[in-house]
Amino acid sequence: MKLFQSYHFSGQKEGEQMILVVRRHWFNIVQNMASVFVMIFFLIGSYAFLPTLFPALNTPPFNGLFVFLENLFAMITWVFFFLLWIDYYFDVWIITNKRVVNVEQKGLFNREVSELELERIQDITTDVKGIIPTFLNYGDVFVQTAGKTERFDFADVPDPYGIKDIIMNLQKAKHLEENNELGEVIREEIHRDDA
Amino acid sequence: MAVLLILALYAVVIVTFSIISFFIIYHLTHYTVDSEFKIVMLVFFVVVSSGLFLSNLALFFSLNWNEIVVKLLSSNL
Repeated sequence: MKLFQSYHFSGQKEGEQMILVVRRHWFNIVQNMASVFVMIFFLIGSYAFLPTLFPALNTPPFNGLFVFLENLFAMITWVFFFLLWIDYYFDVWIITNKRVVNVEQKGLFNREVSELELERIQDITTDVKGIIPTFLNYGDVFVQTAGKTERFDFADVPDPYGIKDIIMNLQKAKHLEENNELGEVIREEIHRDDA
Repeated sequence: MAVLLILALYAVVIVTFSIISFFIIYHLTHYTVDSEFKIVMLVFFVVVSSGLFLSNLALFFSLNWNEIVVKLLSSNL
C-alpha cells in the first residue's frame, strides 16, 4: 500500500493515519480537458496556417500583432487548463483509520468539506455503469450512514470494489477495537467486584 | 483614442490574469494534500505563467499600436 508520509490535510487529528487518497479516474479529467485540447489544437493550427491564408500576417506590423494575440490566447488556455486541474485535483476523498473526509472543490471559490466517522457507516454500495467504466474499472461508491439519510458519493473513482473493501475492512477493525476496549472495561469491573 | 481603449482593455485582461493566478497559487499552497507534489505544481505554474505573462507584456509594448490601428482602419488584411 502507498505510504502517505508527505501527505497532510487541514483538520487531521493526532494519530490519524491516511490509508487512501482517492481522486476521480484519469478518464474523467481527460474528458474535462477536451476543451483545452481543442484550444491547443486551435493555437497550433492558427499559428501554422493563418499566415499562409493571410499573407499580411507575415509583414510588419501585423506579424507582431499576430504573435501577441497567439501569446494572449496561450495565456488564456494555460489559466483555463489550471482551473480545470484545480477542480479535479482538489476534489478528493481521504480515507483514514478513523473517518472518511470528502473535499468537494467547485471552481475557485466553492469548497465543501464533510466527514464521516467509520463507526457510522451502515452500508457501502458500488456502481460501475457503461462500457468504458467497466473496461477501465472505475465507477461510483456510495457510503450510507446510520441514522440520517446522509450519503457519501465517491463519483467516478478508480477501483470502486477495492475502495469498498478497504472501507469495510477499516470499519471491521474499528468495531473490533471498540469491542476489545469494552471487554477490557468489563474485565476490570469484574476484577474490582471480586476484590 | 483607439490606442487608449486598447490599453484599457489590455489592462483588464492583465489584471484578470493576475487575480486568477493569485488564487490558483493560493489554492496550491493552502489546500494541496501532498506536500511534495505541491512544490512541483507551484514551480510549474509560476514558471510557465511568469514566462507567458512577461513575454506578453513585452510583445504588447513592442507593438506600434498607432500604426496598427491606422493600417487596420485603412486597409483589409
